[in-house]
Amino acid sequence: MNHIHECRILLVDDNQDILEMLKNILARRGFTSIQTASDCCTAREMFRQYKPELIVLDIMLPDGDGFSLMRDFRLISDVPVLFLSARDEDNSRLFGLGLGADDYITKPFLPDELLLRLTAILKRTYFSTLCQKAENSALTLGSRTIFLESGTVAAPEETLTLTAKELALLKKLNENRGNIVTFDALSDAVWGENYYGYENTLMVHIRRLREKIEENPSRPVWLLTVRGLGYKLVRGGGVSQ
Amino acid sequence: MKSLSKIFTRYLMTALIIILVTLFLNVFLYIVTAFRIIRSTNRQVSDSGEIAAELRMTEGKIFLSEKGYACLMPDYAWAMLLNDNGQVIWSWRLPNHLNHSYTAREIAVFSKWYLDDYPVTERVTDYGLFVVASPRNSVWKYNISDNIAAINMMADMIPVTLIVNIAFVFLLSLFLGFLFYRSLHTIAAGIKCLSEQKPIHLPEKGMTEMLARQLNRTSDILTRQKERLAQRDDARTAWISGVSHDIRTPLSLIMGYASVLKEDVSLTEERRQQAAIIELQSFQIKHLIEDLNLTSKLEYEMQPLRPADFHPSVLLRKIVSDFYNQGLSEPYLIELYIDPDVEQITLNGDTALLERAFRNLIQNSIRHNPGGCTVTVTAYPEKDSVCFQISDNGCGIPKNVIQSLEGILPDTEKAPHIMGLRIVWQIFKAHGCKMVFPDPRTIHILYFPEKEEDQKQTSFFGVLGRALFKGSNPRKTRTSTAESEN
Repeated sequence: MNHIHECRILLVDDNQDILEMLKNILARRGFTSIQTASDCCTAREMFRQYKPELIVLDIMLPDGDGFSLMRDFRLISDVPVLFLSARDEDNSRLFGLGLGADDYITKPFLPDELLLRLTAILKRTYFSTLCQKAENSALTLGSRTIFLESGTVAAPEETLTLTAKELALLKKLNENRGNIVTFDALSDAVWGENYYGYENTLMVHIRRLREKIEENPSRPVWLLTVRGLGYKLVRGGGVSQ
Repeated sequence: MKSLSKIFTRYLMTALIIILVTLFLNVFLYIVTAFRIIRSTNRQVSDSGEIAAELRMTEGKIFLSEKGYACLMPDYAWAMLLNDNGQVIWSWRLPNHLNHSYTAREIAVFSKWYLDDYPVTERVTDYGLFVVASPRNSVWKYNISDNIAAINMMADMIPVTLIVNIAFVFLLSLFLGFLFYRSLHTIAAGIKCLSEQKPIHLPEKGMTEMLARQLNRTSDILTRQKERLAQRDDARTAWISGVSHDIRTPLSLIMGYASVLKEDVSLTEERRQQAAIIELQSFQIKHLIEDLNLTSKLEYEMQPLRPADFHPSVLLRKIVSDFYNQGLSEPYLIELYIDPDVEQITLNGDTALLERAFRNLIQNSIRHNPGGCTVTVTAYPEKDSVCFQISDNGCGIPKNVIQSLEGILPDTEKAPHIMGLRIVWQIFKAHGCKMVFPDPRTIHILYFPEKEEDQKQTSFFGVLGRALFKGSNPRKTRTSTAESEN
């Protein structure tokens, strides 16, 4: 399997129309290997023969339920499972995720949302090395390049080293680039859950980080403060592999 | 249990008041009676003495003055004067059968008791023994003679007896109070359970038998009504849930195919726009179904809350950041002010529901002000609670919406459709919050932290202690302080 669209996907739903629609949507987005089953028995048979790499599973099926089916699959495989059900109760959602499902989407759903979640699961499961590479990539902020793997900043005249906390902050900001990251989320990323009392320390670390990544730290253009909320690493520059 | 303590205190106070009133009444009656007796006795003695003093002897003959007769006439039946030999030497209206000489033994007897049933009084005069008789059955004569030591002891015993009596009555009141308390305690516990909608079955015996029976019957009625209501609510929620469940699958198909058609390049731009509208409206229906489900569950308390400790400041920052991160358009601004004291406060609640409620309030400000507005979210401490304030400089909430939420406006077909805001109201209500509208552009949410149920002392001696030392009740003191602060 060289591409995500080559992943074998098994769709299990008692409603034939839903199966047709899902197949249609996935095919339109380039997925080439899609099989369907409308009951537990067929699903088990398809699982044995087809060996899917992702299963989209309904809960209420004519000859059983999706939870039992998933338990059976889990006994012999770690294949990712995404529940797609009309049951929106918290209990069902928690039970499904508790069984080890990778995601739970309730009907009616946005096709785009389903595709994004499904793709994310496939990427995480089968293309994690690519993700790892992305994480280890270099970040370009104007004239400076930050190597996240080594924690170094290549400035025009010198190479600076980021401390562990500065690197953790920058990684968190980079993961949410273009979005506001709250003080709490940043503190949590650096100090864990019990981060209370570190607000001033966070400001100090941000100031030091700016001194390393900004050309003019007193007038930052990349790492901006959003008053009362947190900080934002603005988009622009790019990530190179 | 506070009311029980109050009842017991009043019971003891009443018992004490009764003891004191009885005591004072007895003392008063004794004084009045004694005064009257002394007064009437003095008059008679004085009168017989006065009459005796009016006896005169002239030329060896005894006679009574006019004044003496005037005293005799109204009150006495007869009178006589005996010489030292017991012979009658003067008499007035003396019956014939008594007109004879008297021996010393006869004189000793009638002087102590009666003479022919006439109560008589004797006075020694210079001329002999003056005997004056009151009418029959007018005076009761009784001679008292006792050991002087016993009489002296009686004087000492009166205060002791009084104190012992008071103590006995007080202890008796206390004992009866204990019995009364024990009976009432069961009843009070039953009433408390009823107020908490718990079924009860109290023992039907003792002085509160009738009350217990009535309470048991009330409990049975309430339980039956609750079951019926629960069945009705269950049926209604199940119906809504069922309908919404049945809608989900066809709506998925509509949304899915609308999405496919929206991106189908073989269609004209107009058709794709129409498909986009179908998708958008289906999305609205999806939210409506979710809201309908949630509101019905919150209404009938079937939405299980998943309480967890959370920092309100963290939650608010996340919500406001999310709005910006999701692309808040230019004419809108959300300002967040968190009091430094709120940063350290931890509350307990279902954060998913609370997040939804706050998000909905901010979203409402944005949706109802298409020209743009500034939404201000503030959190500050307020006595024992945290106050959240969401305000904007836009058009404000219509009066009928507020009235409908507060239940002032009757729930008719003309009532505004405010499911989103109603859900917010229900979520805060489920968390014990108070939501108020000081003006149409401002919403205050008072979030009360969950208080631990007071571990009140409910034993008899605990109540007795509180009854006797009312001032030492810390809860009362605290309430008073709070009230005085008001």
